[in-house]
Amino acid sequence: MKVSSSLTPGDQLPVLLERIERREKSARIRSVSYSLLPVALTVVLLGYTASSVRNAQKQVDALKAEASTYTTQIDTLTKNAATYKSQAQSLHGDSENYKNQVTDLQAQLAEAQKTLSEAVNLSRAVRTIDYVNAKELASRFPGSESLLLDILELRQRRIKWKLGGQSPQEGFDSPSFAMYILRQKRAPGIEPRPGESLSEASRSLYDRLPPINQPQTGDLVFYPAGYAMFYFADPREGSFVLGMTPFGLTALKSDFAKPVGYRQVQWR
Amino acid sequence: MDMPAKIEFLESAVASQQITLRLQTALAAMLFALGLTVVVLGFVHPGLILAETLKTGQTLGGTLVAVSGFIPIFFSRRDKLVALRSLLRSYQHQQVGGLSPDVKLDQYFHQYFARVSEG
Repeated sequence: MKVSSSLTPGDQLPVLLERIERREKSARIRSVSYSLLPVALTVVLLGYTASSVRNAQKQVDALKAEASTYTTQIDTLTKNAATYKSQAQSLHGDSENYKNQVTDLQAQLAEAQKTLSEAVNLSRAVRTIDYVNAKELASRFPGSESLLLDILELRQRRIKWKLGGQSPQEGFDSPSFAMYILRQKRAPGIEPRPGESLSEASRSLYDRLPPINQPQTGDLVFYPAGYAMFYFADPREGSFVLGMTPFGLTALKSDFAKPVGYRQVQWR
Repeated sequence: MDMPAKIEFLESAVASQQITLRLQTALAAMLFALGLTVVVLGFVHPGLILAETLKTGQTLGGTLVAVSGFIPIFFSRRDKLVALRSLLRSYQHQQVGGLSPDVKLDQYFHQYFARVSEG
């Protein structure tokens, strides 16, 4: 706006000074505004960024808390898995034990079946002995009466079958019973060796006595399955063998099984 | 217009412009100081103003504030003020020394006067 030309320069001065003052005020305001504008912009941007970061941090914290929960659950599951694993191992061990027990029981059953089968076979060949007239029976075997009577006497005592047994109280298996009788009767050729038990000695019985083709009363007959029985040639009712079987001291027909060999006993 | 009136008019104009210039200078200094402080604190004490994760943002913001200190300097009319003050000093010397009016000085004055009158 132009100052009126009708005014004298002296009158114009206050108006001009006022104008100058207004212009300067405007310049000041402009300077302050333009200077603070970037500052305000910076503050706004930083505030927005800070807010975003804070939100992100909150999300991260929430995710961390969630992850922590999952970690705890994983730990719990791991512990449970370890417990179940140990239980499974324990059960596996138990099952192995039961399996072994079943195997043992099966073996025992097979053994029992075998024994039963043998018992059935042996029962067919059992020779009945009249114990009342034992002396009459013994008289049929001159020279071997005492052998028969001693065995029958032991039978009366119900000596049991026991594998590796070494005494009447303990019981005997077939060869150890034969060896026991031979030692009782002091038969030659089977003298005890130093440190040798009855059971050990009985295992060499077959090798220590002289072989023969045809047994006489008092000789030993060896059968499969390790039976060692004393032979008695009965002229009336047929020959039989007497010795220890799993069913105790039993008399069997001499042909109840095919003999493995005969060994001579030289009774004194 | 006589010389005292001219001197009074120039003194008022220079005083007014000087206030503006001082304000602009102070504004620039404040922005420089503020920006540099923000940047330096970002390195010396991270997390004091903004979180450590915003250290880069703080550095950039501080730099921007410091750079914005140039804005009031760009807007200042220091050269014009210097010219006006020189004219005032010349009139004052003339008045004190009792010299005859300088045509060149009057010419400068009238130019300024005309510019202000035209708005």
